[in-house]
Amino acid sequence: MPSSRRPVNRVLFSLSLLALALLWGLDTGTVVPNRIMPGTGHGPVDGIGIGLALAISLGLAGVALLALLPSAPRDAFITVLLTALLVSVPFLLDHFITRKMADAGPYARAGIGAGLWCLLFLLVLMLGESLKYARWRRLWQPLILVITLGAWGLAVSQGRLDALALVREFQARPGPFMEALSAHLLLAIGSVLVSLLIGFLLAVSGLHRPRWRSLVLNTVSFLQTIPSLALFGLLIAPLSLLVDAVPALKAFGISGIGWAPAFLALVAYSLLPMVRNTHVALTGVASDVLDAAQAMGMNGWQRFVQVRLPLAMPVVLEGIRITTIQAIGLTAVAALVGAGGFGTFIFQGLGQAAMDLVMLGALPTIALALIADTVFGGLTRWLAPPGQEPTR
Amino acid sequence: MIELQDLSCQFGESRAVDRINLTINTGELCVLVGRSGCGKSTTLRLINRLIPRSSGQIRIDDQDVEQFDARQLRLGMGYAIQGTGLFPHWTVARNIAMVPRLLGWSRQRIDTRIRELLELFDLDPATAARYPHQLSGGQAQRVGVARSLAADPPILLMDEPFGALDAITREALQNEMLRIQSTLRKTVVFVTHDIDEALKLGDRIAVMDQGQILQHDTPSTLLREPASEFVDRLFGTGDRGLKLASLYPVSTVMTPTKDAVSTSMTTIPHDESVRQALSLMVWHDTHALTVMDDRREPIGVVRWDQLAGGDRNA
Repeated sequence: MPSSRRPVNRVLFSLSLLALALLWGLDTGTVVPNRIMPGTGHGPVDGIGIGLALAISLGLAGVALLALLPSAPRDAFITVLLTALLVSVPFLLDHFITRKMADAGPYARAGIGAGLWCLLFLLVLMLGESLKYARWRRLWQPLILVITLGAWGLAVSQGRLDALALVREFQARPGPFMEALSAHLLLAIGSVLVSLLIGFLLAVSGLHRPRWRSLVLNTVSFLQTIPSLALFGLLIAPLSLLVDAVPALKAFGISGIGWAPAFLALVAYSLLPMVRNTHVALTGVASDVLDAAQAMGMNGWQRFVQVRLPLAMPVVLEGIRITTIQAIGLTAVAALVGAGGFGTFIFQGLGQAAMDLVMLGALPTIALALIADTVFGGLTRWLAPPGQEPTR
Repeated sequence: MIELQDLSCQFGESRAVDRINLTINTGELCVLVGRSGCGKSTTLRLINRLIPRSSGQIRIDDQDVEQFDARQLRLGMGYAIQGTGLFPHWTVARNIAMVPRLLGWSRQRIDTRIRELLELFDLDPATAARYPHQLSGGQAQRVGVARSLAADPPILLMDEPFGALDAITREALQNEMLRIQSTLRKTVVFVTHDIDEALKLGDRIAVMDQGQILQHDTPSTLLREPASEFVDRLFGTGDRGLKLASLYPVSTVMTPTKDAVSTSMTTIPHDESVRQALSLMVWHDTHALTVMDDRREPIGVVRWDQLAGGDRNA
């Protein structure tokens, strides 16, 4: 950072005050007598004890005060403090469980209270804000992700959170959870890879053919306007007909429902961001550079591979990042046509009015999206042409 | 030698270049000058076949350019443009190495050449490892010109290469261009809209308007004997004398003498222009200047009444 004096960070200041207010105003945890009954909430003092509640409040107040400081190193302190708070959440829950679950019934389970959800959400939001100014953002982000997921993983694996409704739901179906994970990943990654291949070829083929290009862009834009559920549904009938006509396809697991329609729909949805970003990236390369390349004797292939593609790479990767995050989200809906994935839990949970099961599907989906964002962020930085780096 | 014969280039209805004839001798710096849209850049791009011609001929050393493979033709011509056209994702060294690499030079030969060129353009050897965005405008443009000279092509095409620079940097680069051209003697086609730049750099200047060449002559002839009213107006009417005076060094009008110091206290380097001598006389309120050589030794005297007629002495 060029200057060591910094303006007051109003966003961080207000968010940490909000987090404080919500922590004290809402329930920290709930105790539910069984899976579908509403539970009783417990505030911070009752739930985790006055000492821990004050410690967390002190941390949040610290963030608020640091945000007012005009010096540069404050960003690093804030980031560390926020990470520490984020890591403490599973252990707060552990504490809550030890205090409240000892004398609850055998079917009782603990729930994360609204106050703690808000705290989690606001902490992630604040981390995003503080990382905007951090010097080594691309290093911090994966580090924090690993530490936070590690803390949760540790708490769960030691059995400290066994009483938590979410963990109960997981322990009831560890096999299906892993299946859902692999189905989700396969569908999302597979459709992104296929759409990358098709999208790249479409974008390149439209480079010097304006009419073909507008046809392609209009078609993929149209695909995007079809509601996702409708597209999944629309594909069932033609695929069933196809399998009836060519029974050999069944051997590959293709049928009217299941992964095949989901995969096709996901590829169709992924095409728009892929084609558009690749197209913008390839045409965004400065024309004088391409002109110079031609005038100095490069042939078309050399111009494309040595000049256009490397200069377009950051925007192409940005397109893949957006497409991947979108595909991870859409794959959850694909469960409706029997494609598997985390959406299975969400729709099962909705059907059984078991919100914790919904969470078991929703939270990993969010986690996957965050991981994809981090991975591609790093990849973009790593693969970016060196001349494009911002100078620091 | 580059010869354009009855060369035309048609875009739809309009003729960007209209039956022009132009001969550029080997080792000559020819400036194409005119307002924007006059066809000067198109003419340049016709020469290396970036734009196909509609009719006429382009001959290089008596060979029609259509006989060459377009890429081979371009590899044999240096090319520098406004805004450098440097590849932002390559270092300075890689940028300069571009054509030699396409020609398949050995690594060692390329490295030697890069060092030579950086030295020629007065650039720090450390520049080689930098990226274009880390350079100043003047440095980047020097690299751009250095890149066009990388494979030592006999012909250099330059399209307003100094157009985007500030006045001071532009003048520095023009001087460098003159210095380098005086030793390398390339055949240069230089496009600009800046009349002063044209007068300063050109051995001969082709004035273009509406796709046609109105006059092709030396700078002093263009100033003294404009062939048309357009050329007359283009070269300015009020300060034409000053433009003419800036074409010649004081050494062409001075009286050589050994003991010049006694004549005048005000001095002028021998390679400064007559225009500069006039300016110094007006400023110092004197009628004579002592002319100094490169070692700052007096070599002559230039007086007020000698300033005219430098172009006839040259």
